[in-house]
Amino acid sequence: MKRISLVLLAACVVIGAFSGCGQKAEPVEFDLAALSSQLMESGAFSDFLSPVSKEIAASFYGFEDADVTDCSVLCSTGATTEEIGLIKSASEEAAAKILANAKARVETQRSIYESYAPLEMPKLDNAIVTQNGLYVFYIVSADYTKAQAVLDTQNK
Amino acid sequence: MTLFNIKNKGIKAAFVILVIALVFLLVYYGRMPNDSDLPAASQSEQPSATDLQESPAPPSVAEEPGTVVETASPSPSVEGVAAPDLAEREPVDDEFFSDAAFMGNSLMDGFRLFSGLTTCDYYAATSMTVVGATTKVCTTLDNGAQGTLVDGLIQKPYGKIYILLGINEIGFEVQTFIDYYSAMLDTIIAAQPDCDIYIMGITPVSAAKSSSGEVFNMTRITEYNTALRQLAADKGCYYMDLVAALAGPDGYLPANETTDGVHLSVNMYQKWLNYVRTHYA
Repeated sequence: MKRISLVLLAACVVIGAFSGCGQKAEPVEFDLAALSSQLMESGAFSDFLSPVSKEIAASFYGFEDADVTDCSVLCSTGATTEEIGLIKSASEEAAAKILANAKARVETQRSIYESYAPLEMPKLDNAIVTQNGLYVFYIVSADYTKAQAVLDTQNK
Repeated sequence: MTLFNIKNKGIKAAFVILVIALVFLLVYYGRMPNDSDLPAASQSEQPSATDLQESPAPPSVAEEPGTVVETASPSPSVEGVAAPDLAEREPVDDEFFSDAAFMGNSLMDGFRLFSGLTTCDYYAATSMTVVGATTKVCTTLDNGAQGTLVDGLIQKPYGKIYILLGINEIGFEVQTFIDYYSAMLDTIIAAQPDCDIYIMGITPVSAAKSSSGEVFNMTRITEYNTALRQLAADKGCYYMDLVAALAGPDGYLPANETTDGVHLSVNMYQKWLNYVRTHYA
């Protein structure tokens, strides 16, 4: 009886240990509108940032309408390179394409502003351009540490 | 025969008239600018306007060799609307702009981003100048090729063309700016003979910006805008007074509508659009 109990206990332990293996990790979801508001309120930006349409966002990040299921893109007055681009892609493939275009945008902005407003270069040097699953984030700010702090709270 | 030997009064009078005519011709041709007499570009405050330091380049128009670009005759004015000035009228809707093109610098790009007007074409770029408009390849044309902003304006018929340039060149001699602007206009007018062209005056700057230096101030802007208005009159174009449209009662861009004294908030772009909707030929 004692042996049977030990065998049953061991079986329960083994079954419990492997019970989680069959479950897939839930994909990360972001409320892009709320996230952009948090970024705006973080003190990371020195310029006015205002929302632009998905069509205009598409011209910035090189995507087709079907590539993106949600986005929150805010641009500066033009006096600075500051910008918030939060994009949820329709697929991993689209996300990879948008990420590449976002990195290219940093360099495009650099070529435009290096003579027009040279003081903007450090902002571009510290641009946050990342991919998290289907999400691509493009953030150019006056204080990237504050912007990054907001993003870090999203992962907890 | 010397002057002292001339006794006939008629001959003397003719000689005096001839001398006066010769002096006049010498003075007139002596004041004509030489193409090589471009003044050295002075350093302006940020944003730096380096484009006028470039060698003057011909407009990037695919012309047949030897083609003479003639200045088009002035556009006929609509009854009650005498170019270049525009009176306030009932606002038009977005459809009015379906055959329109807007061209210019970062402020015009801001108009594209934030005015909400999407029924027109835009050709705009940060740091754009009257030189860059015909020399900098920075836009994709309808045929997929890369071209200048003026290439964009002349690639198909437009009913209205709106142009905003000048703030990036404001550190330079006014006449140099006008000369380049005039040449650019000639190219556009020749390609768009039936088009109403609206020259937009330079937008106002804030009081703080205006008092911060000798370049980006309302005195210079007024000087430029006076010249732009005259250019519009000379070319049969219309002039849009954006200082009247956007400045506060004190004549400056409101401080709370800008972060650098030059670029505009979304609210200002809405005011700008309202002005465009209510001022047309």
